[in-house]
Amino acid sequence: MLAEIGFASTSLSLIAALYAIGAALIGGRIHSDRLILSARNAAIATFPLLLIACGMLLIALITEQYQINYVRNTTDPSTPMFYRVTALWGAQRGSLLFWSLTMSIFTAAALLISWKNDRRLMPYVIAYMMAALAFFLYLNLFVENPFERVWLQPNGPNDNAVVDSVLIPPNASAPAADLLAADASGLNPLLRHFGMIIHPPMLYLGFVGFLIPFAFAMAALASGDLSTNWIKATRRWTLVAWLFLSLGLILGGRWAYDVLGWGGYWGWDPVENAAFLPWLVGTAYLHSVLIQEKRGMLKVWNMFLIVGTFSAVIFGTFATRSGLIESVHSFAESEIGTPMFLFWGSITFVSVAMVVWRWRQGLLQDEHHFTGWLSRESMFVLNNVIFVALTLAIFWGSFGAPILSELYLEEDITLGVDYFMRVTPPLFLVMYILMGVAPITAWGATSINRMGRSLLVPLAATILTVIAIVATGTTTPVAVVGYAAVAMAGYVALFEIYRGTAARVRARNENPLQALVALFTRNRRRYGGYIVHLGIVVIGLGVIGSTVFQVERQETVDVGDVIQVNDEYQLRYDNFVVQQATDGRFIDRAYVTIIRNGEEIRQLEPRIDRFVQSDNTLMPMTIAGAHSTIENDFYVLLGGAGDGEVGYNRATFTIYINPLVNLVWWGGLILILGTFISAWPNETRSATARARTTATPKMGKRAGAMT
Amino acid sequence: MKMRRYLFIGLIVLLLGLVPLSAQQEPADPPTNPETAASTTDSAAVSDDAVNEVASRMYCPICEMEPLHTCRAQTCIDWRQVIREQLAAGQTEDEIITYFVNNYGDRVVGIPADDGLRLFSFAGPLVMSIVALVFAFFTFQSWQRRNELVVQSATGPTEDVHDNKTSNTTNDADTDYRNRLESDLLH
Amino acid sequence: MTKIDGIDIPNSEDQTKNRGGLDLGSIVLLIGILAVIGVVGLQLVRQNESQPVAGSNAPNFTVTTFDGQEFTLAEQEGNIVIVNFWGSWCAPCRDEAPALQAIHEQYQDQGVIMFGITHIDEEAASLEFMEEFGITYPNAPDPRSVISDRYNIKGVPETFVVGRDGEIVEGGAFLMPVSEEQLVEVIERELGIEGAS
Repeated sequence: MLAEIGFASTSLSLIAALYAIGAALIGGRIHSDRLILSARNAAIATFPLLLIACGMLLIALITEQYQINYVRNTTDPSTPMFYRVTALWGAQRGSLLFWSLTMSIFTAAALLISWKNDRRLMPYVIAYMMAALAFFLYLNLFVENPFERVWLQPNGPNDNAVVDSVLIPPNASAPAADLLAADASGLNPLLRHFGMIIHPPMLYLGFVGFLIPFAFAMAALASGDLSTNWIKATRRWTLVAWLFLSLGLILGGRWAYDVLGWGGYWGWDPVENAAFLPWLVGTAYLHSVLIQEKRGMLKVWNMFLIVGTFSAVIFGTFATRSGLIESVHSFAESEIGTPMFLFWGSITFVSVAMVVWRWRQGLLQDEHHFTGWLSRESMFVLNNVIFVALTLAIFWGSFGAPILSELYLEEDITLGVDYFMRVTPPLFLVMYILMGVAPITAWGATSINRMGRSLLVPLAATILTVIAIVATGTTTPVAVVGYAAVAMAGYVALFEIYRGTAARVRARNENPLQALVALFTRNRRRYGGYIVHLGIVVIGLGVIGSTVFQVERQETVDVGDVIQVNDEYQLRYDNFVVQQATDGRFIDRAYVTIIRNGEEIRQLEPRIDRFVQSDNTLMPMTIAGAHSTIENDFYVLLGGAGDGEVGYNRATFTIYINPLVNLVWWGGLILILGTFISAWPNETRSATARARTTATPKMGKRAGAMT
Repeated sequence: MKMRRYLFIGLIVLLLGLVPLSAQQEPADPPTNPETAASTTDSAAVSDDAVNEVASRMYCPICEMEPLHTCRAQTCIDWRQVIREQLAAGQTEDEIITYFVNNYGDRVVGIPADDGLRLFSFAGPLVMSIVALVFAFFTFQSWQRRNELVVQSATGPTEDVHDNKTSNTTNDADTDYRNRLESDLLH
Repeated sequence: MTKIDGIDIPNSEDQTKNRGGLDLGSIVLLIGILAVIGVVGLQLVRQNESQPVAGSNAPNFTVTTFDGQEFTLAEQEGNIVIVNFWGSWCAPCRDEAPALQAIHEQYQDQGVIMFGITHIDEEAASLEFMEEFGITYPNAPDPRSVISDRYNIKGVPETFVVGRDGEIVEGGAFLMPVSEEQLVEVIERELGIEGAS
């Protein structure tokens, strides 16, 4: 029953999407508002339909409908309720349906919000969005259907064939419920972590979010309306998508750090990189559209950037799900590869061709003139260069070089952490330097004098910081240069906030707090942006510290012994117990004490959980004991990498000291805050009020005139 | 005006100059157990850290993109044991890695050992970065050219229009900043 | 164009007025995109490449066995060759080993050659495995996994029965552990002896 409703609902939403495409295009052609409205409604209708479909799958998971293959593959009778719910996106089929649902939510919201203001673009926007949704619905229905069930079909007098089908085949019956339950595989214990629960939905929200600006850009190209309307309409969508993507990446790193037990949070694995690429191009796009909004320049380039971002999104999900490059993330082999490849290839090529078409027609001309080498425009162009270079370099390392080498050089190569840590740091370094220099340039030209004066205080602060760092013992050149660049970017952001506040205080006699709040309220975009930059700076500090100065020690010791970790730290092995938890897993738990400079700091309990699988084998999961402070994480694992000793008498411990690693997570929080500030809607003013204030240029004091 | 262009190019050159600087410095080795056991013959005396030091440069042959020192597969455990025995026999890190590459191919190391493949791997990003910079430079050039052409036609070839945009240094820095802020807000 | 004091001032539009059509840059760009898409597509096809199936030619190889002998598959025409990919680290291979040895002993005088190829295995470990199970048929290491790649091995054990003509026989491609009964059935059929089925 559930499967039938789910299947019907998904099918209806595909029909609605196809109808919307047709009606929108025809309505646009013959200028029928009624038809376009009908298309919009059909597009919006996909949302409740897919909500029902996902709801059915969710109910099936919660009520243990093991006849549905997906339920059998992701849960078993012992799975706790929380993980039943999250199993909805825990494996390929469910996550694809969830992806379609996300797409329908975003498209419905975008259409409702933008309906009044961007009527001219609407037919094409609807058509593009629904075309993308229709493709994923096609996958949901015909390639990876989550409602597929297993049946017994008579195949002779005493024989039953096992058949997989969504709808009931002739003469078939459902297998016995208890047999089905016994066959259930359950959720991989690695996925039982908060970070893993929230990481896929965040990533999907980020990926799908970029569909909106992409659809508007394509609509602008198709309709010929190439003013900044499409950019203004999608500015917040871009920020929201970017925010979710950033969150998804940071949460993925956090999950890896907590659960996978190798003391790190980013492995430069191809699937990780596939999710990073849209973030890189997306960040370039975020900055670059500012130039188009303010100066009407780089129109062609922005088109390429948004096409590149969305293409990277589709490539990312294609590479992940099709097993294009094997990685630790690999999904099981499926036939999804070919349709996804064709979709990716065709939208990339067609979109690029459309940009070229309009470009050659002369519709993407720059409006303003270039006025100076030391201007914000130039800085933003350099910013784009760095991000594009990073994107290409990481694509080459993860996909380009390994694929070409395998196809044409007959040699399998692995480009791993060592490779990326040689190639990317220089580019990141330049990125941080730009982050320090760009905010103090102005649109148009900037004089050296002005720039110099703006840079003076932050530069002085940076030099003092460098002296402090070196004086307290950090002399590694790479780290000092890195910290200096990152710190300067941070000081510039802080100084700009200070200067703006100070200027308001002096001009209007406000107190500093009032001035600060007003500054942020009137210029959400700019100052929210500075907060985001600060978040990136804090993350940068955490990354440099935890990468360059990480300490790793592994040793097998008797109970009571002390491991000398480094000059400051020791670890003492105190005790060991074996326990059993209420859900049936066995726990090997060790008790260790951190000793720093002779003083006992804290006791940790690194342990190994062994889950009893459906086939009665034990699946081990290593859970670290960690002591987190601003200064570092003291992180202990029990048992080595499967070949260590685990027992009362002797046990193997792997210890990581990760300096400043918590700055990575807190930097992420600052980044979220900054994006919220940037994206927060301004008070909407009536059209007449807006007209009044924009009449005279001198009214710039009323910052509300700027969106 | 020309000064500014040279300064800008200088900035780029400086930034590019930092690239080889940071690319060549190896990160500081974390303090490891002083006993690296290159000369002991008892394999039990080889520390786990010494084994992990070698293994961290390699990758699991079966699992794909899983570093060897944290991989839990039986093959990886066996390989770490082989590394331990070879270290005890006095082999250097490079010799051990060469042994594995000869038997299992370039795919077991994080950066290809073969010189040609190595060049192939690093050439990509280098070429792309250079192309990107060149592209940006040409963009600037074409903007500049277009700008000069328009400006020259409008005002005659002798006047330097750009000086008008230079800030008046006698202004109070504050007022100047506020003016700039507010003019930005206008756009 | 606008006119100021009788002088023509070109607008930005005039400077880059296009005659439509594609310029060199655009063509290069579009071809470049097609090339990237094409390479990715090729890789996808290659990933999905199937392994040798019954009826297809068994990929040839030349190896040096652990005993130092050279062995070329193509030179074994006239004999039936059973090529078994295994590893000392692989548990199902341990289950299979006694059956393979038994079949070797039973059929080696009837023109059936049992040949093992190790897959990502250390020589010492392989030799230890062979000693443990009393393996007497020839085995060879596969440095850099060249032969495994040729057969598109996805895991071990995998066994291929190559007929007298160099083609993989009907039902002779086992992409999984093989039992003694299964192999014997195929061998007996190939040898022309009418078996149980």
